[in-house]
Amino acid sequence: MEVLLGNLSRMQVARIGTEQIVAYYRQLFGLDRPFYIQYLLFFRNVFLRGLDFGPSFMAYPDTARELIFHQLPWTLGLFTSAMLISWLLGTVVGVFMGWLRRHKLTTLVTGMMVLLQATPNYLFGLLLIIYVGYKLQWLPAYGPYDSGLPPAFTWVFIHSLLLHMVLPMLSLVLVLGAGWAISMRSLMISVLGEDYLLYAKARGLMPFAILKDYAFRNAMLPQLAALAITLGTTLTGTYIIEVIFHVPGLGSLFILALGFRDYNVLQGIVIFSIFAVLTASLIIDLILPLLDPRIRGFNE
Amino acid sequence: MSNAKLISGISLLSLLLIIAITGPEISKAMFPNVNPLEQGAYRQYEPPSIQHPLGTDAGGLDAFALLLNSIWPSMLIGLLAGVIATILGVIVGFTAGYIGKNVDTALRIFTDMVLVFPVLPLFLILGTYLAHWDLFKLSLLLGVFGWPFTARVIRAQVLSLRERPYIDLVKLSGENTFEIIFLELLPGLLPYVGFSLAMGTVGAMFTEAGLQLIGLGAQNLSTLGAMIGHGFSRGVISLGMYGQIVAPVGILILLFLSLYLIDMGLEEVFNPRLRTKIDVK
Amino acid sequence: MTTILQIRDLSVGLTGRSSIIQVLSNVDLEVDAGEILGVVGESGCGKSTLVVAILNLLELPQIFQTGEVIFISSDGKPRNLLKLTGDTLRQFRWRQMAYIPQGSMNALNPVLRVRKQMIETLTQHGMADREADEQIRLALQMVHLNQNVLDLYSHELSGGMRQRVIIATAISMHPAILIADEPTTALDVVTQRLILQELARICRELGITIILVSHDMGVMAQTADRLAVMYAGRIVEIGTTNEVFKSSLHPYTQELIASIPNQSGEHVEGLAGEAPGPWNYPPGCRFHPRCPFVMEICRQQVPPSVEQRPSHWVSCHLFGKEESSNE
Repeated sequence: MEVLLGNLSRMQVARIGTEQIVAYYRQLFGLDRPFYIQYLLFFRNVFLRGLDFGPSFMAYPDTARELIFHQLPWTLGLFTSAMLISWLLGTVVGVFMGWLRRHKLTTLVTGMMVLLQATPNYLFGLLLIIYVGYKLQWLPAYGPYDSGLPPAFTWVFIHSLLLHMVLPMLSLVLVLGAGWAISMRSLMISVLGEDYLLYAKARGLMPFAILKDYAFRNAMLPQLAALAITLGTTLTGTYIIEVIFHVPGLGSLFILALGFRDYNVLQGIVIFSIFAVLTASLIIDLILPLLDPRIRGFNE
Repeated sequence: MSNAKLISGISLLSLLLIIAITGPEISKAMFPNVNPLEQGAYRQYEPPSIQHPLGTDAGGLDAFALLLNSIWPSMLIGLLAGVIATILGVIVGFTAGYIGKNVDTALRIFTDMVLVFPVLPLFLILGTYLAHWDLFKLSLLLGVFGWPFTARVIRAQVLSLRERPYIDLVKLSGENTFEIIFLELLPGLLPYVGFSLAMGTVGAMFTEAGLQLIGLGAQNLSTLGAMIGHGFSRGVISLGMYGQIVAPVGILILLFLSLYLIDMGLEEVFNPRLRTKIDVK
Repeated sequence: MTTILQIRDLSVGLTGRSSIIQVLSNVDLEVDAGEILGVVGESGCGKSTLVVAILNLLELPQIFQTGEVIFISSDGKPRNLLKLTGDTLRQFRWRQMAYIPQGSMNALNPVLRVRKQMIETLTQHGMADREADEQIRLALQMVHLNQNVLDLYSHELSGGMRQRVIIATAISMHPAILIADEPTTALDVVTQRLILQELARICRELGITIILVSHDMGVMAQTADRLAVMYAGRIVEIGTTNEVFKSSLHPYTQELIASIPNQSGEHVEGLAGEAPGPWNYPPGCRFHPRCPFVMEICRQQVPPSVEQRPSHWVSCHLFGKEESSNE
C-alpha cells in the first residue's frame, strides 16, 4: 500500500513539480519512513494525539480529521435516525404481528416483512429514485438539500432538508424495520407461550395491561440486545445509501478517498466506524440492566 | 415433500437457471449479424424499440443482450461464494459446537466480532484492487466475508444435536469419532446447510451488486450488478431509460425470491415447531 | 351440601393434521361448596387440560368440543362459564374463581416486582388502591410471608416463597372456588406437607372451595374430602376420600392406592404397561389393556358411570350390569 501511495503522490504532483517537490511531499506525509514506523506513528497519533489521522493526501492542507468531521454529521444523522425510527416502528408493528398472530391479515403481513428484510436497501433506493424521484417527481432524489440554498436555520432550508432525506431514510427504514418487526413478532410469540402469560390471563387482568407489562416488557429485552449486533451492518448500509443519493457523509467521502488512494482518510473512516459501533454497543449494554432485573442481580 | 413454497421456489429457480444458461444463445439468435456486446455496435442511448427491447447503453451495446448474458455470471458468483461461505461456516460452527468449551468461546467471540465489525469499509478498500480480478477471486472474497452467519446457525444446531441421548448411545456402541460425525450428526445438519447455502448465495449476489453500484466492482465482469452500476453512474435514469436498471434489478429480485422460497420451504419441512397442527403419529 | 360447580359432559380435543385427537371425553363432575375435591391421575391423563378447560383458557391446538361448566353463585343463579366473554369473563376471573398454576415456579412476571403483580390483580378488578394494599397485607400474613417480599422480584424468591406468593394472590380476592394444579410439585417433601396444610386451613377459614389436582395419592389422602380418579381423559371413579381408599371399586384406583409407598417400606407393586397418550387411546374402556379383570365387553364399550354405593360412582363393566342392561 505504501508503495502505491508513494507512486500515487508522485503522480499527483508530477504535473506540477519536479523530483524536489515530490520528495518534499513525501517527507511531509511521512512516506519516506519505513513501513512499520509509519504504521506505529499512525496509531500513536490517533490514540494519543486526539484522533489525528494525519494529513489528507487529496485535500492537503486539510487534515484527514477535518474532512471526516466535516462529513460526519450527515452520516450520524442518517444512521441514528434510521436506527431509532426503524427499531421503534418495527418493534411496534412486531408487537401487533405477534399479539394478533391468529388473524388472517397477519400472515400476509409477516410474509411481506420477511421478503422486505432480506432485500438489500439499495435496491429500494434505486427503485425509489427511479419511480418516486424521476418518474413521479414527488420527492427529490439527489443530494441532502437543494443545492441553491445555503445552510441556515431557516424554514426553507429545513424543509428542503427534510424532503431530501425522505427517500434515503425510507430505503433504510423499510429493510431494517421489517427485520425488527419479524424478530419482535417471534419474541412476542414465544413470550405468549410462557407460564406467566397464562397466569396473567387467568387472573383476569385487562388485555392491554397484559400486552404492555407482561408480553411487551419481556419480549423487548432480547430485541434491545439485538440492537447492538445490527449496528455494524446498519452503518455499512448507510454508507451505500449515501453514495447513491449523493448525501455528503462518510460513505461518499470513503469512495472519494478510495479514488485518490487517500490512505489516511480511509483508515480514519474505518477506525472511526469501529469506534462508533463499539461505543453504541457499550451504551446498549449499560441500558439493559436498568430494564431487566435479572441482569442486575448478576452484577451485584 | 409437498410443501408449496419449496415447489414454487425450486420451479422459479429452475426457470431462471434455464434462462441464464440459454441467455447467450438467445441473444446470438436475436442479433444474427452484429455482436450486440461490442462497444459501438450501435448508437449510444437508443431508446427502447422492437429491435432493442431495452435500448442501448452508454457504450452502444444492446441492453437486452447484455441482460441475457449477465444472468449466468451473477448466479455463478453467488453460488461459488455461497459454497465457500457455507464450507467455512460449517467448519467453524461445527468445531465450535463439537469441541466446545474454550475453543467454542474463542470462536464465538471471533464470529461475533466479524459480525459486528463494519466489514464493508474493509471490503471496499480491497474492492479497489478487484478491478482486474477474475470471477473466481471475487467469489472467494465474497465467500470469505459471508461465513459468520452460517457458523452461528451450524454451531447452535451441533450443540443441540450433541446433547441428545442417542449420541451417547452411539458412542457406547463403539463407533469412532469420524463415524459419529459423518453418519449421525451431519444428516441432522443438512437442512441448515441447505438454508445457509441459499442465503449465502443471495447475500453474495447482492453484495456484488452493491459494490458495482458504488463503482467498485470488478470492471471486466458482466454481471447484473455491473449492468445496474453502469446504468446508474452513466445517468441512464435521467434519460428516461430506466428499464436498463429495473430489468436487472427485477431479475435479481426473482433470483432472491426463488432462493428465499426454497429457504422457507426447507425450514417448514424440517422444523415442526412452525406448524400449528399436531402430527398424528 | 350445595353444589357450587357442575361440569357436564366436557370434551376437549387437539387439532391434528387431518383429524382431531380426543383428550378429554364426557367429563362429569360436581363440586360442593366448601369442600376440597381432589382430582387424581397419572401424568398425561388430562388433568391439566381439564383445569385449563374449566378456566376457559384453552388455546390452539387445544379445542373445546362439547360440555358445560355451570357455576352456581351464592345467590343461586347458575351460569355457564364457557359462554362468558369479554369483560364479563375477565371480571369473573379471580373474583369468583382463582387458580394456582402447575408451573408456579414461572408464574410470576420476571420483570415486575411482587407488589405490582399482586396489587394489579385487585385494582384491575375495580378495587381502590388503599383497599388493595390492605388485602395484600392480610393475604401475605395468612401465608406467613414477610411483607418485604413485596419489594422483591420473582427470581429473588425461593421456591417455597414463590408458592406462598401465588397462594396469597389466589386468596386475596376471597374467591368462591380455587383450582390448584399440582401445587406441591417441585417442592421438597417437608414444604409440601406444610403448604398443603396451610392451604386447607386458609380455605376452610375463608370458606373457599378447592379443586385440588395432583398425581400424588398421598396428597389426596391427606387433604381431599372427596376424590375423583381420572384415567386417559375420563373420570373412572368418584367418592369420598375415605370410601375410595378403603373400598375402592375401579381396578385402576386399586392400583393407584397400592402404589403409595407405605410406612414400612414394603416392596411396592407397580402396574404393567403405560398410560396411553391421547393419540392412542384404546377403544371401549380405556383401561382395558392393563386391567387384570378385563372382559370382552371392555374392549368394545365405554362403561357407563353408575352409583354403585351412595355418592360413590364408578365407571367400570364390573359394576352395574343389572342397571346397564335395563337401558
